[in-house]
Amino acid sequence: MYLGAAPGVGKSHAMIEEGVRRAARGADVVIGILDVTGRASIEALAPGLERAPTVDGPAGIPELDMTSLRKRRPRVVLVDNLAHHIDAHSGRWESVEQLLADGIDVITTVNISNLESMGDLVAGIVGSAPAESIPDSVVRAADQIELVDMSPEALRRRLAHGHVYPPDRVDAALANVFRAEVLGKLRQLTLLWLADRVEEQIERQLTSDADDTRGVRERIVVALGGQGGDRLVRRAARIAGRTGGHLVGVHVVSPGRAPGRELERQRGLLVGLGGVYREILGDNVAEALAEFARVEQATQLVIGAIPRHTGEPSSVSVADELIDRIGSVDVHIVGTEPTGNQSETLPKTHTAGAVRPARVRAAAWALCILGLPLLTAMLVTVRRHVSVGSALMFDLCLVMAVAALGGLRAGLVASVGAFGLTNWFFTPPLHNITVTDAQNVVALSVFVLVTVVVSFLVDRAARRSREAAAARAEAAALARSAATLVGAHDPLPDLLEQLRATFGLASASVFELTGEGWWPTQVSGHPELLDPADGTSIDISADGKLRLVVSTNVLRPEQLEVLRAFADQLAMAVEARRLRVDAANADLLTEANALRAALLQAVSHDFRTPLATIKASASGLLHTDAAFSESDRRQLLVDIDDAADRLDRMVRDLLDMSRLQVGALDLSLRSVALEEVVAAALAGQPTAQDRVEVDVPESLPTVLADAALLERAVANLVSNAIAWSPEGTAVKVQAGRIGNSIDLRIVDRGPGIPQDDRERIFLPFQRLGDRSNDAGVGLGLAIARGFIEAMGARLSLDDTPGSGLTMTIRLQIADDDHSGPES
Amino acid sequence: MTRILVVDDEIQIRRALDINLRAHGYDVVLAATGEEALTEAAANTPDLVLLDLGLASLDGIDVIRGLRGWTSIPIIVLSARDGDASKVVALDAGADDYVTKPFSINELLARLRATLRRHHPAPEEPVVETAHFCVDMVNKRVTRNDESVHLTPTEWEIVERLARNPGRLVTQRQLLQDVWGPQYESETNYLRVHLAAIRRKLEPDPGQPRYFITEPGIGYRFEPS
Repeated sequence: MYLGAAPGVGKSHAMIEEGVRRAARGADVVIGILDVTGRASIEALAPGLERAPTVDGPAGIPELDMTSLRKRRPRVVLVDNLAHHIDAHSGRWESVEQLLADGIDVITTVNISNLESMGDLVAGIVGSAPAESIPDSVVRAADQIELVDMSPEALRRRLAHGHVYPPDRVDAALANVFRAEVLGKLRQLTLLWLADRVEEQIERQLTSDADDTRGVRERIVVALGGQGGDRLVRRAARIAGRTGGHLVGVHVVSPGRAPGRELERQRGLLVGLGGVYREILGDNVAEALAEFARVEQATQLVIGAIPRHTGEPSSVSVADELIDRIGSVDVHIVGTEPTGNQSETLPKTHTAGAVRPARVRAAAWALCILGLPLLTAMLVTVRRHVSVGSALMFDLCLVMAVAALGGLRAGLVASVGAFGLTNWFFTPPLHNITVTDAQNVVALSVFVLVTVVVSFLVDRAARRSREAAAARAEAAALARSAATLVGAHDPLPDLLEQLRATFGLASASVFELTGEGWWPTQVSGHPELLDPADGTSIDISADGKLRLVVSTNVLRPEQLEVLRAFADQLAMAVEARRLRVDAANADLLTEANALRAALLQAVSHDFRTPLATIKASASGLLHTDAAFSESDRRQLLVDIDDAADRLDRMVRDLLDMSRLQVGALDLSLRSVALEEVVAAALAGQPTAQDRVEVDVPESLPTVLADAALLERAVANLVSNAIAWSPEGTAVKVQAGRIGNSIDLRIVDRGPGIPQDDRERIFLPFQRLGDRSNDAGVGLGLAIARGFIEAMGARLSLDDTPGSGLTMTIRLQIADDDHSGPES
Repeated sequence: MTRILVVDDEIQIRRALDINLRAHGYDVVLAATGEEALTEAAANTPDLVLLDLGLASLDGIDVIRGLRGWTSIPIIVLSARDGDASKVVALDAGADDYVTKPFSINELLARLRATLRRHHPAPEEPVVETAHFCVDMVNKRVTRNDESVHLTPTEWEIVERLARNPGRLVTQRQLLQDVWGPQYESETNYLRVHLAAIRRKLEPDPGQPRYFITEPGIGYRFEPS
């Protein structure tokens, strides 16, 4: 993939040149798409290249004709401008992905500004967002990315000379892109992006070299909410990309607040940029985020900066509160552009949910303390027209309101207050606590009774409805997360993780009943807190053999309901996992069968050949009436002897291979002189004398190896190299010191091996091209690698410059060797 | 001198065959690949081809087809493969006989002689005689201990076909085609039934036949001695 900062830097040129180069080397190259109308110099560059037929897309722009390309099946297709959108739903890269899936290589070009994650940066530089974008994942998946760079000045000169666009196509927008300053910034962006990729790749190689001892990776958490979050997601994705970290997007769900379509889009963007999406429940956004960051072990948190609402000067912004709560996590506050309808990236700190919000409680108490006297005062002014009974009815209304808002306790206080006030101001004797009229005594008593009962009922109803809302929110959160996991490779861990996050649990896990009791199938959080016989457990399969266990026993009944509903999802995930394991086992069996078949084939064919030689020669010699000359007789005996040796080698190879496969190799690592091993390995090869050039200096330090195994490995590799070398070329065996190791290189000038086949040649019973050879049963390379890796050394393959294959054995220098690097 | 073309990609086998066949008075030409074999056969027509089926680039079967395109020189296939299928394919493609590796030189020489005999027939023997019975082609009858043995017409035809090719393999397909007709090519159970009847009438020990030998799945061979 050729990457450039702007149109005209020479990406298409580079692509065509590579195509021409490859075609000259004999590859079957065709031009798929070349977006170069009017750019005559490019057309002139590739006169010999075949142009594949194209079909016109909806916009009249030529697109790949997939049907004819598939029929034609070239080796390489050149496709210009990968990011082009064919229509609203599909891009050119999708066609290219199909080609790749069909095993056709593609060389293509991309502009930095078309990368999805670059969208708003480019918009900031150029002034308008790029019309077309391509998912970052597509670009990152390229086998090789090559930069085509050109200084802004040179590019402007090219534009001026009309080499980039015909003059009539350069409009204002295009002209703006080609300002020196803009080009400079785009170039910087491109170089930085590519530098990140290079760093990633180096890191990957380093970590894979270090046998996957991965260090702690950064975890970048980005808080998602309403509108304007796209920019936030892209920013977080860039941070994650730069640090090679995990990207986690989180949305705090509050009861009663349905997430909008914006969130849906942001989730899509997040997943497209390689992140995972989580939803958590929380009344307080800052608190929930801080808790989530702690549980997820986030290293960086990205949130949007919210312009304060003019109406609520006192409200504390989420960012402020978050910074107070969060410990060692870096918090990035990203500016968001305010949009028309006063939206915000994150909701204000507000409270709702199963616990009665403090603000509502305060309002209830205010109503109780201020409202009651006010109401009484009003009633007193019209006392003449209002009976005690009517006054009590008004009070009843107020008490109910207080109870509904403030709960049972506030209701009771209001009830007692109303009783006192009415008694004091209404029942004769006035302004006295005593009540003389029996009727009023009854009325007041009934009032207290009724208000108490009503407060109780109203409080309970309000609590129920809030709990129901919370449960709905939880259920919705889980359902949405379940939906994101459909089609995931193994949804179980994510489902469980999401469940744990949603309910704020310390741990949750799925247990399976096996012959030895309950066994955890999947654990999320701290496993030591769980006991399937204890805590809250829910059967998730009909036969009772699967159980979801969560580390709390204070779940409300509605939460239990949600958990049960969710259990079905878990059961399906467990089932899917079991099916996958079965499928993998079936694959293994198929592989083992294939190996067995190959073994049988090898034994039946390869063993028969030397046997046939022995049988034919020996039976001929026994035939008394034949007249053999002395030299013929001797030749037959020599052949019998050779064939017997060959049989012996094959038996030894088979035994070694099975020892390697069951790991029963007798290994004795000692300090070994490489030149002696190489000499011994070559001594066993009759043709080695004139076909092999050895350059293994005796001054090299000794290596840590098993002399016998290394000798076999070297002998096998050398004999393979000789077998593949054309007559008249020599196989080179060279050794040299690289740091603390010694590289032994076996270099041949044969046809080499295509990259894709390099793993395959080490499989047992493989012969590329099914060529029969004298060496044995096709185990030589498999055994060589097996031995080398058993000794803790490494075998790697490379192209020999020019043509051929170079096999390198990297051996550790023996510890007891104190000769320095200068020796 | 009889010229034999030996085609095998294994140098040791080629050498063993070369030495042995020369020692028995044959003229030997060697070829390592199918292409070489076709060129050599076209240049100096041999009297017989010994052909290995497992050749590298051009398969042995292709070589048979190539040769059969213009000549009927006898071909004996050498095969390291156990699979009956490959032998049947080779025989159907036009090979005259086969020998499975590993083989003894005696066996190979016997097959060689039988195949050559058929292609350079001695004046037709009117009577084939064995230690136990006598097949009289002229009078279409079989005698055992000087007594006439009754054979059904089908049995006679099978016996005649086999007796006319002593020592040589006759495939099931050939027999079925010759005796019953082309549409019966796959009815191999007919053959089993009739051969069993023939053995009951002619073999000294029908359970261990020594004259009418079955090559399982491939065909039959009449060994007069």
